[in-house]
Amino acid sequence: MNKKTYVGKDERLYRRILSNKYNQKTGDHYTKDKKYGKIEIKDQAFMGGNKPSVFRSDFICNPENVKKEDSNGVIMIEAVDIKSITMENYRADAEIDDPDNNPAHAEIVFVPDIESDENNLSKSKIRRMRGNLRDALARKSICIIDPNPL
Amino acid sequence: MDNKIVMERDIIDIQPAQNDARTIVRSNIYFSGISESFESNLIKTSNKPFKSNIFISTDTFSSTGNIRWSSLLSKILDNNSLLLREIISKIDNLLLNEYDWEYMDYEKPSIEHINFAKDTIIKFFKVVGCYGEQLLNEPYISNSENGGAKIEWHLGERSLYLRIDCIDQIATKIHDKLDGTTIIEDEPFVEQSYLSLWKWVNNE
Repeated sequence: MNKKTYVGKDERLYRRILSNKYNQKTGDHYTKDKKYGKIEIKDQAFMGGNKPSVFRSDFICNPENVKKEDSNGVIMIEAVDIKSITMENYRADAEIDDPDNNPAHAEIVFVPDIESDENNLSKSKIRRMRGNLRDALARKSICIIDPNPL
Repeated sequence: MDNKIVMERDIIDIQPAQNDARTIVRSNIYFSGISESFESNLIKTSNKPFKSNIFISTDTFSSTGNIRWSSLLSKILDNNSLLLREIISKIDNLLLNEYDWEYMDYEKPSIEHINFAKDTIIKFFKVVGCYGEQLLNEPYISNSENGGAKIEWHLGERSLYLRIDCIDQIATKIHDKLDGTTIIEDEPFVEQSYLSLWKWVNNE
């Protein structure tokens, strides 16, 4: 079994978000403060797949490159903030899933793996833990490129 | 006469005070239906920039203030009712969302789960409101994983998430600690814990 590789604690990680106007698949990726216009990231921004994927700043010089469409925004989360998240006996981390072929990409996971047979967690528990992780990630993310339209 | 209270968070203006646990501050509260505003001393119970729990010290009303604590409590309950109506309406609207539930790994919202969530949040408001807690902060409401409602409050370094459906009622506390760690804790969302959860998120 290959040894797992995780991002360094000093790295920054980027993730694309959709403008609420064009997002049909999930709930809003963010809310906008009515008074100050500040964006607050919601857990829905980490939807899609069981392990939210992110891009490493060490390999992405310009976060604009994370965007697929002009309307996309980009959020940033510090690796150290991910690593600070714990739930019961699990901690969050960003795993480089394919260090040889795709080192720029990482996935945010719980360590040890909550889906491992050894941990024997029920499906509903796993689903809730994923939801909790998305909530915690949303709290720690900041928007560095606003989606358009906001 | 319209006696509806207007106690929006902008209107209750708690001035930054000293770091005392309980600090008397001067503030204006305006009530619609009452012809004049009055001034009273409020006791702020923490250093939060906004506060949901306000005690009026009974001996400090100005000459124009004639509202007694019991009356104020009733107004607080009225105010909570207004907020509750908004929340119930938002929970109802979750049924209208047409997202890609499979992509999200969520159950489609059902009337059964949504009605259960509404009944539960009404009970929560009743318990919390009866202790004089004013729910000034409008929560964020979204669909939950099991087809019910997720209701969340964020107050500084603490966040409370309630996931309510017929099968599960779970409160999740996320706390950014001073040592830099972020702790996620789940616990059953049961009536006995309503008040303590509310106090936890308010750091009381």
